[in-house]
Amino acid sequence: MASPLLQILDLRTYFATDLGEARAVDGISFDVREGETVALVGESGCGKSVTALSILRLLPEPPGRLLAGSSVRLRGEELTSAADSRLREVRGGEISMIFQEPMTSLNPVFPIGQQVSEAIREHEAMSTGPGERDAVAARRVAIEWLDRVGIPDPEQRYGYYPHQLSGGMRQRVMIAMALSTRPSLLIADEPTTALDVTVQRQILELLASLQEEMGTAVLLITHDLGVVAQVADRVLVMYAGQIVEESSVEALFRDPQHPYTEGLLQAIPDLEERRERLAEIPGNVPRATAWPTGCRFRPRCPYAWSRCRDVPDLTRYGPAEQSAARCWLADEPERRRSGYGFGTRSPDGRREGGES
Amino acid sequence: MIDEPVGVRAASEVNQETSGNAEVLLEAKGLARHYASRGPWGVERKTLAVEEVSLRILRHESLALVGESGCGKSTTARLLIGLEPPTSGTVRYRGRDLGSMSRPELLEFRRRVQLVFQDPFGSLNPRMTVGGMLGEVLSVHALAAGEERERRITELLGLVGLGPEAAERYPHEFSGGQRQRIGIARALAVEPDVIVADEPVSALDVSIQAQVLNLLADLQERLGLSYLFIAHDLAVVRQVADRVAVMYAGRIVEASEAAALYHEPLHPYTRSLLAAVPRPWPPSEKRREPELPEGSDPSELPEGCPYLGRCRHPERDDDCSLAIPLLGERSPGRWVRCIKS
Repeated sequence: MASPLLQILDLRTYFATDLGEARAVDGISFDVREGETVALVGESGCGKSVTALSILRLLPEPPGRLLAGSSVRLRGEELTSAADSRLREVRGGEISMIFQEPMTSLNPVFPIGQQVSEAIREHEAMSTGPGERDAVAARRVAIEWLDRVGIPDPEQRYGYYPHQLSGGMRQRVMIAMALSTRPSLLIADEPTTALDVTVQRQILELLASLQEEMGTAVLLITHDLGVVAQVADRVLVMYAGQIVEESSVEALFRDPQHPYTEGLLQAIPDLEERRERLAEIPGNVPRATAWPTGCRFRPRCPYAWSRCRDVPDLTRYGPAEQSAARCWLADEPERRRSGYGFGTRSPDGRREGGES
Repeated sequence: MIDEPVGVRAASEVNQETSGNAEVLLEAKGLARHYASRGPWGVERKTLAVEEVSLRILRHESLALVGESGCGKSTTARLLIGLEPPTSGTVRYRGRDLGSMSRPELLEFRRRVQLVFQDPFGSLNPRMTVGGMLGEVLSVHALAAGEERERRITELLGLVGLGPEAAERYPHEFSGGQRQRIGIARALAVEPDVIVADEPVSALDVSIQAQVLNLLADLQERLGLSYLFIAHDLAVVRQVADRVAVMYAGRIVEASEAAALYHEPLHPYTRSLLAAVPRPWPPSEKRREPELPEGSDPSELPEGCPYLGRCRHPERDDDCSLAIPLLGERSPGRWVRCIKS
């Protein structure tokens, strides 16, 4: 059987901090297959961005470190032990990355077109061995790409500096840079979070159409479940450094299995109707230096019971075991009944578990 | 061009049916704010931030100003609370013009209209305990002293869902959601009747956002507050607003009671905004609306209707470029700035 495009096995990334060791990513495993879109969702501090950065070894080490036993494989090739030269080849070659704020990834003192053509030339030099790549040809390809990502008047905009473009246009330039090298995998970390909603919609549609055309797989890191529903094939929900639920996008929104996912879905305001109250997940996201013992969601979970003091495994279920949830309730579904009813407030109006 | 204040008739009708009179707390009439800047070669350019904004905030109701970045919603809020003087137009608080208030009146206004910010950390003094901060506000406004002050601090913390022990701690010891609660407690300390909240939950995680939205709803119920929400997230606005005003390029382009606006948006811009929101539903319901063109630079707006360059209204034609449309009332309480809607 062909190995998946990207295979992550028991990835653990820890950081040394003043408060002790932060177990930011704590043993996660997942695959990304050719051409599919996998969303990694969770709230701030859950470890989703650290996961993305760990794949390309973009984290400063120290204070960060990848624990022994962590494995990141690109078409079967182990990247955690790869030489730096090979990693540089992979970055911007087989795997590209775009970030939330394109202004920080674009060089402010160079024209955008030049930055795109440089990315193209850099990549060509790597794949064909060192040599002169015709600058004129690279410029032509760069202009084609600017056109492709929807930059109007690309010949003229080629000479523009990043500050002369709107946020949406800058993100289009980043997408041109990231995809012009024809990567197999694009890692997109909150690519539309800083954008207005109409612009976000355009960028997501642009990404989807280019992906379909080029067959690129996308690992989308986001906190926005609306964006997930719109673009993802499969979803991985992260909480406290672990994957707590894995499922197809349809199944996740129809019938979430983990109480955390259920809470997140019920906490989102509804565009169609004003709700009497939103469901609340009580308390706060725990800190990576002190994850709760047992099930890490236990202190905030409306269904928590005695068994939750033990660590639950990520249990697979469903057709071809495509779904998984890290919860003891998987064995006892009758315990799960409208846990996010509005009874999570005590009579004096204070939320339980709100202090930390 | 004189616009009727947004929602006037709707508000009066609603209130005739219910209580008989609507108490207007804050009222803006024909507000405009322009900025002058120097462009290339020192050429002076006039940037229009806000133009022709008229609105009313009634007692115990929530009005939301929505729109994308640069639409003028935050500038409107700053004008309404007197942080900036308008270039033209007036703001009245309980019928008194802000521009001609006496000093005591102005102090009273500053107390009764309070702000809650997006980033509570940036607005909290890092060197002061939460109790110290609240106590200072109470002392400055001579609202409570001694034991009464301590009692009031505990009460305020309880109102926003924090325990009395929070008074001894510093802002950095709290999470984002708890800091937002502290920011709300500080606003409440002076017993305001209007709270202006500029993106109060946009920096918070979904699970915490719900806590704060529920808290704001509870407080409105308990204390009879009025809210002016400035927000870009239309789902959040749906949850908190009684009425909504949509801004585009410095002007209100549509205003209405919230349910009507969400169910049947009239202005093409409102329709685009609502269509663009990614919905957390099963993907079978993925919508296919025509793609929206990128927003244009507000300093280079087209002749006539400012939205013309992005408009997808099937009936748009040359008439649209003749003049900036007026905000007209299409049906009771529904205002729209479009000659084709």
